[in-house]
This record gives sequence, structure tokens and C-alpha cells, in this order.
Amino acid sequence: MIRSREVIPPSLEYALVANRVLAALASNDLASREAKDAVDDGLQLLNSMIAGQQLTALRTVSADSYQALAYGEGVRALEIHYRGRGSEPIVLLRELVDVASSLKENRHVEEEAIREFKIFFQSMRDIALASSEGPLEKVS
Amino acid sequence: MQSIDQKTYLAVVDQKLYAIRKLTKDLKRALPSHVSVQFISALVLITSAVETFLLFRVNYLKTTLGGDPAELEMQVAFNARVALRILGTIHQQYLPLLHAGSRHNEYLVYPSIDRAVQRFTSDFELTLVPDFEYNYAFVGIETFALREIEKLEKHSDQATQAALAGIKNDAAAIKRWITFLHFPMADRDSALNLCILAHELAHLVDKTKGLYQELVPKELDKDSFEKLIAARGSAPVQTGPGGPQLTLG
Repeated sequence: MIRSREVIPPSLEYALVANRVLAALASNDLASREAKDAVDDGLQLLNSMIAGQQLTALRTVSADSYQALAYGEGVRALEIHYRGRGSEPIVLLRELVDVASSLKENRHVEEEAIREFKIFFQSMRDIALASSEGPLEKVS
Repeated sequence: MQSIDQKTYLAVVDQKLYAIRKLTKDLKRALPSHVSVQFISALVLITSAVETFLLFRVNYLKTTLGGDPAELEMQVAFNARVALRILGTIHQQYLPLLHAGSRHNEYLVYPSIDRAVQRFTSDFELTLVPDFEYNYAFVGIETFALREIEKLEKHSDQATQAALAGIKNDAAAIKRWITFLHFPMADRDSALNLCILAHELAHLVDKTKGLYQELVPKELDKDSFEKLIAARGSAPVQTGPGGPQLTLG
């Protein structure tokens, strides 16, 4: 039997990314280096989710399979606020990637898009802290 | 989250840091001098990294969010809760390993196991953990402290990253593999039953030699995978103690 342990599990790491993005947005200084790094961190997480969706769709186990974990957390965050919208998670994730890319490159982003971007990352953060601590993972 | 103010959160983190350091020191004293040395160093470094991360992150937030007290309160509380979650994991999942290791150390079987593992890697520390549960198990953690500290560093501002750099350097000096072999206390005098430890050691060989890589990528069975996804999709977010995360028997 293998027992796996992590001090900082992936969900907590995603919460750190989400909170960093939210702190950058709250600072009202998106041109600063820290804000750009934070948004870039968020963009990488969103891209991991999209890659995770593709791995999930192919039912592939590979060295990159951990990205499917990011997709699983992302889907939960999307479900909280977008359940009634009817769009596929992947479509919503691509919209969020567009917002992150625009923010990173100082392009104009509609207020409503920024609001939804914030809601997504708030949900990511809150889910990680609301969920119970992951027990040991066991594989025989 | 807003019901408890940031000062209270930070005070609780201080208490938790004190408790973990005290427990680690006491457990270290109870262990034979050569047991779990690298593991204890890793725990000490991770604890320091959490303290540094919180201190510098809060300072950064005070500088950038000074004009928005409500957001500042929220951010500080969040970071303190993350610190508490990490420290709680150390307390609940890692310190019991030291406690179990201090009960009995199996000097008779340890040298044979050590010699066997040396054939595959020398960059490891092995601790035998006698369990009251009837279980044989392998726990192998690769680049333990370094990997966890890098997670904190990666999602931090520049000042916090600079503050964590020294701790990260110390973490890089720790042995690559920190491993624990659990075995049932009931079998401690049975040379025949303890042969099962060879199976557990094979997990370490698999990990260090990357034998599993021969098996990936692999496509999962469609029907059972879709059932798993459907069950996962309909499950609410857990807010209390949950069952096993993953158990494959």
C-alpha cells in the first residue's frame, strides 16, 4: 500500500493563486510587476484547467494528469455562479483566459467581465478553504 | 471569514507555530539520535517557511491595500487561515510519524533494509514505523521541504520570495527521498511476515527508477470513468470530515 502525503495539497495551492489574483485586482495598480505576475499566475492556472479538460475527455493517465485536478476544482467554482447559464465549462474557462490575457497586456476589459473574473477566483479560494482537509491518499 | 478579526487569526497562528516547534523538539529528544533526522529538519524548515510567508505577505498587503481596510482584513485573514491549514496538516499527519517512530525502532531489520535500498539509491532516509493497525504501507516523499516551500514561493510577491530564498537553499540540502515503512506491531518478531516489507520497498524502487513510466500514458475504461465523473459532479463540496479521498484495494 502507498500512502501519499502533501503539506500543501493542490486545492490549497489553487486558493493561493486565486487570492493573489484578487489582491492584485484590489490593489488598483494592474501595471505593477506584482499585479502582472499575479495575473500571469492566474492565467497559468486557467490554462492548466483547459489542459486538464482535454486529458479528462481523453481519459488519459499521464505525467500531466495532475492538471485534471485543476479542471475539477475549476468546474466546481464555475458551477456555483454559472449553473443557470447553460454554457459548457470549457467555454467559460476560455472566456476567463481572454480576460486574464487582456489584463496582463493592459488591454481594455469590460467591467462585467472583470466582475465575473473576480467571482470565479473568489469561488476557487472559498471552495479550497471550505472543504475538509484531504485525508491520506491510499493506493494498494 | 469576517467574523474573526485579523489580529486574532495572527495570534492563533503564533500559538500553533509555538506548539508545533515545541512538539517537534520534544519528539526529536525522544527519538534515537540517527532516526528521522532529515525528516525533522524538513519539518522545521517548512514551519519557518510558513511563518516567513505569512509575515512578509501581510507586510506586502498592508503596503498595497492600506486604502481598503475591508479588503486588507479579508486578505490577512485568508493568508492566516492558509498558514493554519498547513500547520494543522503538519500537526495531524506528520508529527504522529515521529511519535510512532519513537515507540520502537526495529534495529534488527533496519540494517538489512538499509543495505537493500542502498543498491538503488543512497539519497534517502528511511524510518520504520510500527503500527497498531494491521497494515504494511510505504510513504515516500520526494524533495519534501523544497517542493512545499517552492509552492509558497511561487505564489508570492518579490519580497516574500526573497525572504524564502534562504530557507529554500537549506531545504535543497535535505536528502531527496524521505521514506517511511509502516508494519504491524503484531508482526515485529516474525521474520517470515516481515518479508512483506520487500513489497513496500519495491514502491521506493519504482519511484526512484521511474518504472511506472513504462505504463503511461494509459487510457482509462470508458464506462467506469464516466460513472466516476457523474458521481464526482453530483457530490456537494465537503464542509466537514469526509471519507477516504482515494482507496484502491
